[in-house]
Order: sequence, then C-alpha cells, then structure tokens
Amino acid sequence: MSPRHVILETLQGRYHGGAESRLVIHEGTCGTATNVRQEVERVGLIEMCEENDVKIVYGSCDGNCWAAPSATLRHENDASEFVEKRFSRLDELMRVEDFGVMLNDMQKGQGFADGKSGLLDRLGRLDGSLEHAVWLGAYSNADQILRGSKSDALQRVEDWKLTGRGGAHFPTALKWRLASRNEGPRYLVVNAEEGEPGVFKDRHLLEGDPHRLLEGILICCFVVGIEKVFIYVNGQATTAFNSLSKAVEQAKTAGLLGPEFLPNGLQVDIELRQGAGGYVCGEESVILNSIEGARPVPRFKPPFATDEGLWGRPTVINNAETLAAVTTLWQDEPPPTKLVSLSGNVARPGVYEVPADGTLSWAGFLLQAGGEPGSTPAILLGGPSGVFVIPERYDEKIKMSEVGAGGLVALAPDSSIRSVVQALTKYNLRESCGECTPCREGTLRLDALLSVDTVDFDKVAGLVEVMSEASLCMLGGMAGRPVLSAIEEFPTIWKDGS
Amino acid sequence: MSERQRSIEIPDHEMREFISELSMIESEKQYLLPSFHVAQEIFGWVPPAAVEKIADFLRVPLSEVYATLTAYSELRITSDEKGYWFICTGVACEMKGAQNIVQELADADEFKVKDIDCQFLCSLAPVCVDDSGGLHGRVEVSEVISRIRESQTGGE
Ligand SMILES: Cc1cc2nc3c(=O)[nH]c(=O)nc-3n(C[C@H](O)[C@H](O)[C@H](O)COP(=O)(O)O)c2cc1C
Ligand code: SF4
Ligand code: FES
Repeated sequence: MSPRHVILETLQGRYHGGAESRLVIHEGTCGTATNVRQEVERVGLIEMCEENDVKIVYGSCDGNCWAAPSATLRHENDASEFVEKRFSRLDELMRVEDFGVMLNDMQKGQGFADGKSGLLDRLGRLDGSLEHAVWLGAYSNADQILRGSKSDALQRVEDWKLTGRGGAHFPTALKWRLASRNEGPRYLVVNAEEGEPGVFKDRHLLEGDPHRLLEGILICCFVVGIEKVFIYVNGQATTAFNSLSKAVEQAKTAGLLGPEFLPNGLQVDIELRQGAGGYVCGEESVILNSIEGARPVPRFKPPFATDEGLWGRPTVINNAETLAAVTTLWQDEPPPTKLVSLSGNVARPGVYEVPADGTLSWAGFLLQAGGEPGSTPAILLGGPSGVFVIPERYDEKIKMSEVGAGGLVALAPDSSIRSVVQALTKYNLRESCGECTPCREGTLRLDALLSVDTVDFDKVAGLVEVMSEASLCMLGGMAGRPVLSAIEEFPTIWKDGS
Repeated sequence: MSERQRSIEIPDHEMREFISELSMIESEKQYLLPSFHVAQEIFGWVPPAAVEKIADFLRVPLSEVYATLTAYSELRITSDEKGYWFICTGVACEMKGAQNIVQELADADEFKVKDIDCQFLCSLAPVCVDDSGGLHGRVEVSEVISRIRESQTGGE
C-alpha cells in the first residue's frame, strides 16, 4: 500500500460518526443571516435530539438557501444505507410528532437540480473535520490521479473539455499546458474573489466543502509543477475565508500538502489572501497586482499570466469552481456540471448544479426552482456584464458557453427592464477603476444616454462599440452588453421615458 | 487627508496592538493589503497614523501606499461610516421589494441608513447589513425598522 493510501485510510478510520444519527444544522452565511442558532433554541431542537439519541452537528448551507434556517437529519437505516431528510424551516421538523418513528421512515430528501450530484455532493453534509470529508471521498480522486502520469491527468481535463468557471470559459487544460511549458518556478492563483453581483457559488463551496478546492489545487500543482499557491478570497466572505484557512491547516497537519502524499518530493505551500472589494478586483491581472502589493488595476495583455504572471513568473489563474470541478472528472461517470447561483422571483433560490451538456431548458430550470416561466418577463444572466434571456427562448437548452459565471436572476412580473438596465449601468460606472478612458468616460456617457426620455439607439451602439473594442479590461468591455441585449429584446420600452 | 481625519485621536492601546501585529508581517511590499486589513480590523478604518507606519515598515513611498489604499472600496479612510445600516439594492433584492424598504426608511427619516450594492446573499433577498457588518436575509420592513430603532436609539 502506498504511503498516500495509508494517510487517507488512517483519516477515514478516525471518523466515528458513521453509525450515528445526526442532525446537521445548516449554519454558514445563510444560516447565520436567518438566525439559525436562535431558531434551534426557540423550537427546542437540542432537547429533542438528546431524547432521541441524535447528535447535533453544525455544518454549512447545502445550497438550498431558500430553506434556511434548515437542518438535515441523517441516519443509517436497516439496510445500512444512509438516508436523509431535510427540513425547510426548523419548526417543520418539530411538527413531526414522533421523532423516533420518523427516523425509521425517512426518505432521501429533495436534492439539487436533477438529483444528480457531483460538485455539491458533500456540501452542507460535513461536520468540519478532515476525517469526515475524507470519509465521504475527499482526496480519493487525487490519490488515483497522483498514481498516474501528469500527461494522462492533463489529457483527462482536456477530454472532458473543462472550461473556466470564472466566466470566460477558457479551456482549463490549455491554460495548464501553456504554463507548464514555461520554466519554473510557477504559481497558482485561485480566484475566489467572486465579486460579480448575483453570484454566490464559490462562497458556498469554500464554506461547505473547502477540501474539494484543495484537492483540485493539488491536482493542478501536480500536473503543472507548482509549489506556491495563493488563494484570493473576497474580503467580505469571512465565513468562507475561515473555513478555508481551517481546511488548509488540517490538510497541512495531515501531510496532504507534502511528499508523504504528493509524488516526486512535491511540497505545496498555500497562502490565503483577502481582497478588499470592487467588481474589477475579480479580474485576473488585478488580483496579480493586488497580491504583489501594487495598485489593484488591470494589466495590459499580452503578456498573458501563463507566460508572465506573479512577479513575472508563469502563473495559472483559475476560478475556485474550476479547480473544484477538476475533482469530479475522475468519477466513473463524470458529471459535466456547472454551478448556478439562482435568485430573484423563484420559490427556491439557491446554488444549483446544472448539466453542462445542454439537456436542461430555461423553463425546466425555472420550474425546478419553483419559478413560473409564464410570469417571468426575463432572466438576467451575468449581472452587470450580462444579457437578458426572454420567454421566447425559455424552451431552448441552457448552454455552458453562455452562462458565464452562472449568476441568474429571475425578474419579477412587474419589474421595469429599463430601470434594471439603468441600475446595472450605474453599477458599472461606480465600479470602473478609471484606469482607461473608454470605460471611465464611457460608463458615464452610457448612463447619460440612458437617462433621457427617448434613448438614441445609434449613439448607444456607437459608444458601446468603442468601449468594447478599446477598454483595458472586460469590465468596460462588457458594460454595454446588458444595454444592447435589452434594446434588442425589448425595443419598445425606450421611448418617452417609459 | 483632511485635517479633521488627522486630528482624530487613536487610542494608545489600539496603536500598540497595531504595531505589534504589523511587526509579525514580513517587511515586503506584497504585504501592503494584508497590512491594511490589520489596521482596519483594529481601528475600524485605516487612519493616517497607521498608513505612515505601514509605509515606513514596508518601505513603500507614502504616495504609493495611499494610491493603493484608496483604490480598494472596502477599505475606509475616514471614520465616518460607523453606525449605519445598509439596505441592499442589487437586482435580486429589488425583485424582492428592496425599494419598499428603502422608501419606508427614508420616510421615517430618523435613521442612519444607506443603500448598498449586492451583498452576495441574493438567494435570501431582500438583504440588509447591520451596523456591525452582520448580514440579514429575507428581511421585512417592520422587522428592519424595529431592529434599527433598537440599535440607534437604544430601544426607546
Ligand atoms: C470585471 C471582471 C470581474 C471578474 N470577476 C471574477 C471573479 O470574481 N471570479 C473569477 O473567478 N473570475 C472573475 N473574472 C474572470 C477572471 O479574469 C479570469 O478569467 C478567471 O479567474 C480565470 O479562471 P477560469 O479560467 O478558471 O475561469 C472577472 C473578469 C472581469 C473582467
Ligand atoms: S475597463 Fe474599466 S475597470 Fe477595466 S481597466 Fe478600464 S477603467 Fe478600469
Ligand atoms: S442583490 Fe442583494 S444580495 Fe445580491
């Protein structure tokens, strides 16, 4: 048995929760924002669990944010199989008259999107220990990959056509290959800044299953040959930051970041950095500047980061979800999925995992989340850099290439598209870092062009063309996108201040 | 930096804590942002006295330190922001009636309240942020008003 395997087996062996009945209270940001601790006390859950020999565990949100404050009851049934039932609102749990009887006839609760799981498999189920994560499969894919060759691993990432989940959908395998061709030392920068309004999936991953990200990081470091990693976390996502710091310490202590676990004497050092706000601070070259201590503004490209990134060295920058997704490519049936943050006018907003292969329609997705396609005037896809998907398109399948970072807002029946577009434009204006003229001046003028009673389409189109061609980064480059999309899809709303 | 901000007294014990925390950071330019975070954590903002210490310690020109500091929207260079509640007016929150909350609070006119951009808790819209940075999801107008009243007037 390889030493690597011994580490994992030992960790697994140290987990003793396997046969317990457990109630996972979904805390994390969503639970805290809905006062889950107070609710637990208010409804008397602790006593009830004690009476029925159920252990209480505090976990994170499982992506069913809509249900918060919530909990999931899990136990081993007669067939030695885990069954679980989740509860939206804790008083629902308390309404069940006999906790004991219920434990026996629990069924698998409502899961995500189509019940398929991959990336979100462990989300909200973990008790925060490394042992529990490993018991539920963490690092087992890395174990398998580290036994093979780098080129096989890279081939797998390429075969599954994994693309960047930060929004631009650049082929991940190509990025890794480009960086590995350049001489070391090389860096990996994990983009967990998540500053695009409407997107909250990376926070959920970091809070709820940080070891999945770390496993993906180790695979990337192995393939590209990287020993130093920076994880750049959004400055306000403190719960995510704390959960990730704890996970890094756990992995380090268990020897997962060093030669006991990694081949060829590889030793990976992971350093966490906290951002300090701004949409543009999620742009990759801004993050590089920020880590170096320079002003957080974009760099000219080329040179690209894979050639000259941090301190001029070859650097891979990947979104946190991209790296987490790498771990799913080695399962028997890899789930080619994308995380979607859904909010707005649906009954069940939250984090969903949707198939990347174009099998789910917009309407199907809305229905799954308790939305009503018939009374949803549009879906805003991609926030301030996004587009509007209109009802005529709801029967089309959701395509990976168009979802960007996966932020979806279902608009409410009475909403004014014009005000939404103006709000997005004002947002881009506020967030423009001012480093280049087309965006600094352009967002200001775009806002002015939209603030008149009757909008001049030609002027808007001309301005947006300049902004998208000449801006230094894609904040300015895409600021006109929602405007053009809204003009195209809703041509009649721009007259007489309607 | 205005004279007023400069003249704000920094408690000695906070400054001592800051200097001791700062000395644990490596003296390299890359630790500029981490140093700002340390300052903001301790003082609640990044006061001029701390900026000067940081510039000295990391050996980065003061002008460059300010140029960097002021580029981050979450770093506060004034101490004025304390005591405010914020109502998120991002698109998802607007879809869930954020404007009503803003309007009712504006009508009430007695509170320190501001609008704020998306807080990335859109799945629990409408969202507000309390005066110590805590997030609240799926809030209702009456609840927000009574909580703000409690925190800003001592519950009278
Ligand atoms: C204005 C702007 C904001 C961005 N914000 C983020 C972000 O918050 N998170 C992210 O991963 N990528 C963001 N990106 C994309 C990154 O620049 C980069 O493409 C990405 O981190 C690459 O990783 P990936 O290939 O794994 O997606 C942003 C880009 C722009 C232009
Ligand atoms: S496009 Fe906008 S955000 Fe990007 S560099 Fe230019 S001014 Fe800054
Ligand atoms: S829009 Fe309010 S939290 Fe995102």
